[in-house]
Amino acid sequence: MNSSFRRGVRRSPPILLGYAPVGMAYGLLAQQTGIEIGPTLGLSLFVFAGASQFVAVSMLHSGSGVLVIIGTAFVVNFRHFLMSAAIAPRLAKWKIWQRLALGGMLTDESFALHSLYFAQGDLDPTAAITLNSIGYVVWVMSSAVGHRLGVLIENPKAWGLDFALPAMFVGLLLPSCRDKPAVTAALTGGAASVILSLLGAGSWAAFLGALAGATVGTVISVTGEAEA
Amino acid sequence: MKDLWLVIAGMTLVTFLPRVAPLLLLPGRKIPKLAERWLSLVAPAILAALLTPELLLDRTAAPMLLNPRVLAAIPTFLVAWKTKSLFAAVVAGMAASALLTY
Repeated sequence: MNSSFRRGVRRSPPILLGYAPVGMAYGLLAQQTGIEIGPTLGLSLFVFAGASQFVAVSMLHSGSGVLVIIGTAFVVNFRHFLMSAAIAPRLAKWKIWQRLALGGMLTDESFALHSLYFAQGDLDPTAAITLNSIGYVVWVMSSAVGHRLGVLIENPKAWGLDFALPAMFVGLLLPSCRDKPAVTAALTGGAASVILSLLGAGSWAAFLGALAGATVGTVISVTGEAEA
Repeated sequence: MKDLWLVIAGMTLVTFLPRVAPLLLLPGRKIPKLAERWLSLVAPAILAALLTPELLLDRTAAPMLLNPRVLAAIPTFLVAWKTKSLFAAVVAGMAASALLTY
């Protein structure tokens, strides 16, 4: 047990407190949707991205096709690309396997912590990867616990479980609305998605709405700069 | 069931690659400014695009502005705004939704 490892462990409580309840809610929801323990844990083990796992469960429930679920997961999880790109310049000295371990387990929460420590000049790979691994194990275990608990719950609506997914979107959306182009992207994406749904775009509505939203937001940001 | 594992395999691929690609390729390289801006706007756009139909379009009823989900979203927004915590937002949303079903 070296001190880098211990530093990683000491940094883990915020991750633990963040993942455990959400992981349990995910396992519960998957169980209520009729997904067995194997695939429920498969999503946590291989995908390890909460919002997209909730989305997948809900889309499977409404009978969406394979391609549209994967496409939507791609768009939902694409924010990790930017986080990864944001920390990449600092990790030029890391070994390839260390970068894979950090990036493969990168989440909203771990990104926030890593960028904090990296900015302080602490680039210790062992501490960072230990932190990620603890979060990973907690996520998988809490999904399993949630799935088991699901058997005990008879009326998920009375627990507000049907609102776990929209509430999660709200919690992720607000911090991402930093400036006018971001708010425009969100408003356009939301409106386009509703309109496309009403027009019968089905499961593709969110995917296409998001592309429209990001594009209109970019136009607003470019024209805003041209005027200034 | 076979489809389910196909979904998992596909999701694994499209989640893993964007997570690691910048870390493997990017040190010492730069993304074009316009592309970077578009990419940074994908997050708010997709989250709103997933959220809004969840709130406004109940699969069983006609679209309307004031339904229990919109009402439950109000305290969720306020808590998310004040605390900036995903966990607090989810708890507030579930509690509000549970209370509104009674």
